[in-house]
Amino acid sequence: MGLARASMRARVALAAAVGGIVAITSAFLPVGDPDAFWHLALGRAVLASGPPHIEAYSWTAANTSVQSDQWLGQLVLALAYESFGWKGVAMVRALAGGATIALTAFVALGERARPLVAILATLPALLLLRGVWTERPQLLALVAFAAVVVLLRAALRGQARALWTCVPLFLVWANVHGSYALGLAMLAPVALWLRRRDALLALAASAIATLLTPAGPGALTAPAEHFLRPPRYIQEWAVPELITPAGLVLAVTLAAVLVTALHGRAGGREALILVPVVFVALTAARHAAFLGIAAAPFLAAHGPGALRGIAENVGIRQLAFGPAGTSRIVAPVSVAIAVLSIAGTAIVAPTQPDLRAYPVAALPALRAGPGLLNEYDWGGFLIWYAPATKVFIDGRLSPYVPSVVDDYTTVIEAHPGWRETITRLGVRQLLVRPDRALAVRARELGWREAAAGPGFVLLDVPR
Amino acid sequence: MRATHVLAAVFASAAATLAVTEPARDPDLFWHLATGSWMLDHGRLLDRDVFSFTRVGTPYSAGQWLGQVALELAFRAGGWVGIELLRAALIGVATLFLSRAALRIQPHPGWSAVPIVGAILLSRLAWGDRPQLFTLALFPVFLDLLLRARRGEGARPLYALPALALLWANLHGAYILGLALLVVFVIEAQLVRHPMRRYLAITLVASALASSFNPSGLIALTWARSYAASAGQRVAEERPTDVLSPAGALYALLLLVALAAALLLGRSGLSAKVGPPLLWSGVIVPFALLGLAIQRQLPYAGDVLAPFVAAAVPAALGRTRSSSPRLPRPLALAAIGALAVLPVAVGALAAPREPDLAGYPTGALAELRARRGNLLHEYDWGGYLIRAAPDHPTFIDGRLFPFVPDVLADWSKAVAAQPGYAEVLERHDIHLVLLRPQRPLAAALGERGWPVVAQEPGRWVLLARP
Repeated sequence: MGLARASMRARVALAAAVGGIVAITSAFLPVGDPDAFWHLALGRAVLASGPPHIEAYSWTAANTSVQSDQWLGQLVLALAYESFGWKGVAMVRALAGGATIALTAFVALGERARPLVAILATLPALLLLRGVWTERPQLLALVAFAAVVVLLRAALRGQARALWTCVPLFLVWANVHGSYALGLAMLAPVALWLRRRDALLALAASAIATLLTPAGPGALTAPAEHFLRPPRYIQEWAVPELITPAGLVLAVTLAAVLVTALHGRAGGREALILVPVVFVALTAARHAAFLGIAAAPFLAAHGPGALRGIAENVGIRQLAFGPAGTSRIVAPVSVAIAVLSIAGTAIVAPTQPDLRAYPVAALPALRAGPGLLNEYDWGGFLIWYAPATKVFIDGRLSPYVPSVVDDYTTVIEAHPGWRETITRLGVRQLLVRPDRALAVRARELGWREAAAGPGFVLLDVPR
Repeated sequence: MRATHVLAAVFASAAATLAVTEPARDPDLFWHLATGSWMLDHGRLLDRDVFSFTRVGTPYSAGQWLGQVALELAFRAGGWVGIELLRAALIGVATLFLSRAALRIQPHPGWSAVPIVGAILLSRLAWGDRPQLFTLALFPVFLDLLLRARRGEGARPLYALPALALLWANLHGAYILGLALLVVFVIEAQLVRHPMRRYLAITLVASALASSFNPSGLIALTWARSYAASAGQRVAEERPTDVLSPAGALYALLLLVALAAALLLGRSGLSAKVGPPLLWSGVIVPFALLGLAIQRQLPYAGDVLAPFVAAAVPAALGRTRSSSPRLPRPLALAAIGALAVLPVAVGALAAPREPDLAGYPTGALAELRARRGNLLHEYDWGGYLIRAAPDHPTFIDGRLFPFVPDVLADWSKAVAAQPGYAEVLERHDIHLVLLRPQRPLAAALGERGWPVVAQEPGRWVLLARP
């Protein structure tokens, strides 16, 4: 018996080994995502007094009500930080990424595919995941997404009870990240397709579970707003560009899905999962990873058959992939690799964040309180490293849409009326990149330079 | 005559009638007309810049010369109505052959209508009055004739493709799409040893040779690579497709329906009810990805998806394939004749007599005529200024490639008031600036004492060096 029909133990071991290798490899990556800092700050606030409801970090949206739709993910990050410092944050990231890939490989291996085919089918997920390999709750949500794919495919294979596991999963997911809505959009057609009472009950229970968040049904507000009207001016929310390296992987994955659909014998059940995921993956660059994860088992299950179909079409009658390798040592070796890799992440994870992209040298010259206008992607950094200084805007975005974002754009791009906007809002300092039109104009006007360094300039606004 | 022929004419007539009632407004139309006019007046190809002051004398491709001449001839013959009638005719041809291709695979009008209408709506992205209209028309012609030959319904029309390729290569640079389509059919036919494979191969070779007879020769083929690699970084219409935009959502719907239908049918179902899977994957996958990569290419992705969706969806739902009823030939010909006359009649009665210039700084022309000096202006007003203000050579315009990378970089830096913008103005000796008022440069120059000599609030502002 080959690994194509290997035992559950071998599957788990091999998937864990793949996930472990991915985890330890990713642990080498530096920490320093612009949003990681404000997620950590919010996680600390959750630790101290529960999910916050009032905005406390900015001066432009101060005291407005805010949603804590990612509080659980932020709490996990903060606990990791409080326990192990930046190394802990890097480990959470590495383990979440590794778990996502392990689950993807696990479900691909379960499709009666040869291990090599399953691993190859998992490759797009790994490559597309690289784009969202950040220290955010979003990465934790991908673990939940991969788990839902596992459960849905199990249900479609006849194990409808697997859908009950979705209920606690959605409860957690809804408190980690707004992407749980995609999970529901996949669960619903599968449950309806199965036409079983328990599947429909599991769907209803899962939907109810997603309401058990601090914001209740309102937890969907921000994700829905972002999904339907994505802030395209933010790079990760931009339309996927297929001529970039990440876009190319997305294009190849989509091409593989289309070719497999046209040449395989997949059946309509695959459409229940793939169709919504393909659409979502095309909506924004940050969603591309979903397709990699959902496509892996599909490609593993039907890719070889599709290749055989093409071969038959062109007259090659004997296309085969050879006998599966049989080895009893695969499982123990895989377990060893997984354990060593996961343990190794604690050793190789960085102990300090990479702050080269941030205006560290400006920190001593910042004034406390309100009045700073900062670059959008420096907001999180400032929340963490300059808590006494309130930010103008940061990566949370939702509290700032639309009026603060409009003011920010007017000022930072020096549109007509930028000086009036500065006066109206009471901006006292500008912390921006030197190639900004705002920096150019302020310098032309002779505004005092409080600090400057590679990649930033801090200017005082004259009274 | 088959009823599908009449039905295709109905779609074509409807699309053409819709098209003829829209005014000309495309920003690039004006420089295409100016180029065509220059070539007709001088009796030779225009292969170097004569319209800008930043790149004057610089050689560039005259690859669309025939399309530009055709546009100008239409204008000289019928003014703006002539342009609109030419547009309607080309869109009618595009729709006719798109419909023929879809109805060839799915004769049932109900199942075909929805994807055909979807593809027509997608094609509206390319309804601007430019030589690309010829590509819009010729791509479905190639698709339909190739499908016809591949399905064994007649190979004789293949002989027209080399001649069409020769025309296409001189009408518009995207003729490579037709060659790419041919390559797909040739490869598939060779792989499956289709009886038509030799005819198709000969057609490809002849078409490739014929298309090399253009002012740039075979070099024109290399543009596709540079175009694919960089165009989207500069021009909005070349950016990737946003599936949340109306056109993008429609395209995504077609693509996802095609995917779902393919999954439901599987290889054997497709093979039996829709056509050879190898051919469909060869046609759908590259053009679907092209449509996602560059929104301007969506119409061609729609063209290849429409026939597939028309046939695959009812097959996936278990509907049996219907055949097209026959109509008495005189009746069918009369109907087709009436449908052909309809857009012409509507054009004569209702086609706009003037272009829609609401998006252009028409009110600045008088002030521009009274002033001298180099002008810096909005990118998409360049073509209009070439035609409307010939005394002021442009800084940059929709021809783009002569201005890449230096002039475009200077322009981008200047209008965004980025570091070095003042040097750009000095280096190009700019005396006049005509921009949308929200541009940072407009604000910066106003603060630096450049007087506003004319403006239309919210639309444009003309500043002069003090």
